[in-house]
Amino acid sequence: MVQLREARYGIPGYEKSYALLSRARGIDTAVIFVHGFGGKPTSTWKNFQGLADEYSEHYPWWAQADMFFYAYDSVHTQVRANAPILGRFVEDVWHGRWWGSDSGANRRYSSLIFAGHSEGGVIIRRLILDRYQGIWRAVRQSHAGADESALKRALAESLKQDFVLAASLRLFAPACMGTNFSSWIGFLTSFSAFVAALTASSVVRNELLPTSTILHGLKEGTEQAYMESPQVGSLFTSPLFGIPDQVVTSDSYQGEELLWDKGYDHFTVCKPTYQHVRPLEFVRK
Amino acid sequence: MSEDRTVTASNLEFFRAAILEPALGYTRRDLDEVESASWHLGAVEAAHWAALGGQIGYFEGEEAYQLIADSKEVFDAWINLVNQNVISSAEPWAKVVTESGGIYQFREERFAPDRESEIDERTRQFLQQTFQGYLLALAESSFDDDTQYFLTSVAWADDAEWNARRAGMRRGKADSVEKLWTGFANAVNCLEQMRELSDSFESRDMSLMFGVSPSLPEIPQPEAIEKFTGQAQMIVSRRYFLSFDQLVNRYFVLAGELVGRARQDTAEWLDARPGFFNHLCQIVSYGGARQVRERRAQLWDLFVTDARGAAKVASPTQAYEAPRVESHPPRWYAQGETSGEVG
Repeated sequence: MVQLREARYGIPGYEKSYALLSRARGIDTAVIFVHGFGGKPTSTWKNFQGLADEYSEHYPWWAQADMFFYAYDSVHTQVRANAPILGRFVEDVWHGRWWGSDSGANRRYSSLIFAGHSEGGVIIRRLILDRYQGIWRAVRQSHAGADESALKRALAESLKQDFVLAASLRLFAPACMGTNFSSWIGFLTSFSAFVAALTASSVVRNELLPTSTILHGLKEGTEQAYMESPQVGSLFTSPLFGIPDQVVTSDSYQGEELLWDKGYDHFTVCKPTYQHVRPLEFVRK
Repeated sequence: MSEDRTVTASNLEFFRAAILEPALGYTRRDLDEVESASWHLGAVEAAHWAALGGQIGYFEGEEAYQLIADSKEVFDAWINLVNQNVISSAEPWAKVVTESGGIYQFREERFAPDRESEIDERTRQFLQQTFQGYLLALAESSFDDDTQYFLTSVAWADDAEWNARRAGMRRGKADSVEKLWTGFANAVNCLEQMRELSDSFESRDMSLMFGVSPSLPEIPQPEAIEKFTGQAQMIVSRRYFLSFDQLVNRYFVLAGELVGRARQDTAEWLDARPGFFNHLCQIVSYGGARQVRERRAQLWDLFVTDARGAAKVASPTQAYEAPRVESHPPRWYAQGETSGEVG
């Protein structure tokens, strides 16, 4: 019996990010895991690395997916600065640029899934909105003087072609509606997140507060974009929250259905175990 | 190259990038003798992981041996640790290297599968999956600057130095309270992950027994898993020195100090604290702390008695006593505190 995945550590340019590459035939999906505030790529997504393969008979889509565990500075770098860095990582993964001279550079994906936890959900949604707004601006410029319907058709065509906007979003306890930094109890179940909260830059903490203009702008912008272009799947999602979650505000954008996972807190909701396979089921196209 | 050889070769490359290179990161740094010792322990620990991976067929034993044998820095690290009396060449953890006729070399047989106890394929796959989990957990936080700073501080600093580092009273370029705290969180996180991975077989077994998760095939050789996880625990715990009570005390004082910063005058907060304390007890036990059960009352006092006085809450079972941590020069580590077979 052969191991189902090959581990590649230290994706160039993204220190401590790594990939678990499926050895199956017909791989068509890249799943990018983005941890949250004070998180890390292995401990935040604990057990995805092994259980996705161990349960591959039950959840066969995992065999068709390469897993990328993205590492980034979640406690000192602002949300708006982190989004484009994630964007470059996604481009490198999608276009196989990180392989170097390896033959695996021939890998071609047709689907992209973002799995985000807490602040990771904010960074992902910011990336999606930046991408949307960038395309919108580019189309406006290239169609200067065109009438509104021609502009809409051109915009729809450009949006359809963008692989990031076509991604599926699977968000665990996203911090999009704010983080409860006034009470630290929720953080105590993850010591590293707790210490991160103690040592984090106040700038980043402020950006994740419920009153944050960064979060407010992201919400307004995403809801507006979805109203304009409801066909863009990545603008609308159903986040999964644990019960209880004492860390983030358990709410989402207009019209989005909230999913609940009773008995799992902010930090365990995204971790599959032998007793808790829901995260494995949740992350799929 | 056969498919199996391709897999083991890529596993070894993963090990090199994720563990060996970071463990040898000290060679690019300007470190004093004490700082170097902690890094040297990490380098020798990497050799143990290479040996264990070879034993379970995660990579080819010969190739793993060659990788380590070719890394002069690992060998130098071992020599330095013995010369500085940080480890004793007689202790089991040091026996990844052997001496014959005055010549020291890595023990090649330690990197090879145990031919006397054949492991079936399904069990082997579970071991390899667990082993990869160990490597990912170690790579995440075990060999970075913050963790090494914490491990050096907690194990080597005398009381005055330790307290100065905690209080941010050290002015060295490399000194930082944030580094100390983050390194502490990393160390706890690493041991926590290692412990959970080691318990995963039991957890798997229980969930299958009670039918709470989709069915999975039985793993026929639990004894092989027990032996393997025991070896892993021995390998990882050496660098933490948690067999010394005074160092365990420092863990609880620092944890208490940090938790005390989040103090709230609510029942919820007071109830949350014992949960965290119990969890920390389990983690330090895994890391090699002895008699934690017997010392719970004392550790609780240290935990709830923040040295800054921010969270003075007396234990319900024992009167408050100021935390005391004896000073301990590094050389008393080589007194053969660890036992058992490794690697």
